[in-house]
Amino acid sequence: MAEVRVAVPPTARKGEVIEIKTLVSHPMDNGFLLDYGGRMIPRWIINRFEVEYNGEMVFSADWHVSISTNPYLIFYTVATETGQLDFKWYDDNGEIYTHTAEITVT
Amino acid sequence: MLAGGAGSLALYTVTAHPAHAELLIPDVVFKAMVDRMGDRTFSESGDNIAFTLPTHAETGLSVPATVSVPNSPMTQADHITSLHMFTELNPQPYVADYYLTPRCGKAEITTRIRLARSQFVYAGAIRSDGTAWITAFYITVNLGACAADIFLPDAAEAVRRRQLEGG
Amino acid sequence: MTQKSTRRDVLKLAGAATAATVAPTIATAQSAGGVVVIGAGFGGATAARYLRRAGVSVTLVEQNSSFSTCPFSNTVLGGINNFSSITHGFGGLRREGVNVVRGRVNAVDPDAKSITLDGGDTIAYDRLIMSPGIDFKWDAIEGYDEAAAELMPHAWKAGSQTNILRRQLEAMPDGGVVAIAPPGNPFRCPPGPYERASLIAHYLKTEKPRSKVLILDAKDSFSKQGLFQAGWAELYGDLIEWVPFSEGGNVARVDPATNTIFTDFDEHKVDVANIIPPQRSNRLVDTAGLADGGDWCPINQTTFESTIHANIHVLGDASIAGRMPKSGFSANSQAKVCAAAVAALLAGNDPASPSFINTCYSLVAPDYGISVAAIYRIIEDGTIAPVAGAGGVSPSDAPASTRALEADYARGWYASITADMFG
Repeated sequence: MAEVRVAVPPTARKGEVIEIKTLVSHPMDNGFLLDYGGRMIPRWIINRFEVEYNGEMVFSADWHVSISTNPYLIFYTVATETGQLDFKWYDDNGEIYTHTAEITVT
Repeated sequence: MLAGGAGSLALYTVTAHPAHAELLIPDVVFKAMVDRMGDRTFSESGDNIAFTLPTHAETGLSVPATVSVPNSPMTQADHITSLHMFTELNPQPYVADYYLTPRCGKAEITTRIRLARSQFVYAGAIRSDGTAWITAFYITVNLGACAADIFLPDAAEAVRRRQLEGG
Repeated sequence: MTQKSTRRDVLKLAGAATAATVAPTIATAQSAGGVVVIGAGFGGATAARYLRRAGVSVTLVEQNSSFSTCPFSNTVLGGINNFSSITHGFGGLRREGVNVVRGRVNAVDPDAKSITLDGGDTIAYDRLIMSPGIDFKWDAIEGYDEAAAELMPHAWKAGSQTNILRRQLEAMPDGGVVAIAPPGNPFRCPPGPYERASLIAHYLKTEKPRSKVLILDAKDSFSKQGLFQAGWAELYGDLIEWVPFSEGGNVARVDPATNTIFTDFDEHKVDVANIIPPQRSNRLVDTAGLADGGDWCPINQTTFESTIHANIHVLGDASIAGRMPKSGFSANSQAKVCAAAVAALLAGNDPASPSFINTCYSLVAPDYGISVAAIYRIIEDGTIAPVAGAGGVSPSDAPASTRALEADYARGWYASITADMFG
């Protein structure tokens, strides 16, 4: 299970563009490496990231094998209303990692 | 202006690296662009895309990269719908595709990427009117003395994995 | 326009030098200034000295009355050496005929082929060699500006900053936390922050054993990492904690008033904060556009002549020197190549294809040294690249006697390179 860290400002003014940082602990195995025994380490990456703001998709991404171990991402969104941001990461093994952040918009 | 069409080669001028004043986009990168950005006409970005990486990286394990279209108003009528990154000499050319909406407010992402060696890295952006821009940046991946006791990024990654696994 | 004393010295020395080399300088008379070197550090002092050996007249402009080295400044922080032991005067350079001018350069004019000092004096040159070192990107970490650096020292230019950090370490009570925040690549002296952590840990273990060193890193890997981490485990146990970028180590903001460091996802209240901000070439290069809008100066890597302006050479940390790291030894090696190229160009000859060396020693403790060495040459695309199979790294399983020997080598290296620079 991946550990997820997200930094969202707890409060913002309406209309303000806020910075969001995310960091997920994940090996992002690219499928090109061998282990000690010479066996191929199979590809295992997070391939999809989605962000919903009160149920509406505001940002998403497709990731490939050239994204570093423990993927880090900074992106932006407009603080439109008080509510919650839902983050979802999908990996090759079908696991979904989630995080929810609350934001108060004044 | 670059000619579209999968498989074609496009002559494209960048100034990021003095040793490569003119650059032919490699077929593998061009195909990846068409695959992820659509079969459309690509234009040299000029000042539209700000693509920020270090000129040198000690290792290619985790290189910071920012792709931005600073002048996009990000309105319903005029916004960036996607940002993309590609590499020339990694095992695969695909790095990431980011899908934006006017609610992003700012057309910018920052992430960390893997680079197998010194090479050109490419960034692309698509505007809501269908315009597609691309730009490139040459980065030297430095594996020499004072820089690392690790001479291959992938080997370093494997070592790191073993450490994580307690192996 | 020209500083009187400077010009007289230049002409006097020119007369003493070999005619073949300096004849063009004398012939063009009035404004000709021979070779002017900016910065009396690893690059500049070495270049000035080796140009004199080639019989070229040299004016070396330096803003300080002495030079304190970043190499071995970590031994001062660790309480092993005094600050005076890393400070070098310019008497030896003067004795060898280098015209050392004290002054701060505020502009380079490539068209007029002259530099301007604070106060308005100008010095003309036939060829200019700049080894101006680094400046900091003050806007990169929120809250970290020049005023903040007085409270949270970077100590990444040896001088008053080194002493501020040393005093803070001395004043810290036992049980305190010392944070070191290394920047992302590229930066001056890649293993430097980790040697610093080592020697501060050495001091703390001896004097304040309940204390801790916390490295909040903007990177996921670092120079000689395996050797450092093995040394830390062996010598310091859990006294040093390294938080890599991917575990939230990246410093986004600081509050100097409360000694608080905010990483991307956490905050750390510490006792001593050593913030090493991201770097670029010294802003002096911008007066002539030598960085071409970037952070570092593009050059012809065989001669170190700027690709932006002819007759200006840039070396050391400020330059883009292929795959050589930004280190004092690199600058020293580049300076010898540059000096030979400039002497050849002045004489109307073709510069030779150079090779370079960089050996990088780090002390994990006063009697525990590790190293990495490499040889570099110019490859087909004109850039500097390491020679495969040359050089190497300290073995990972060496006995204590080997580490002690390498620590001796490190001290020997320092003595010999500073003698090479300053005579």
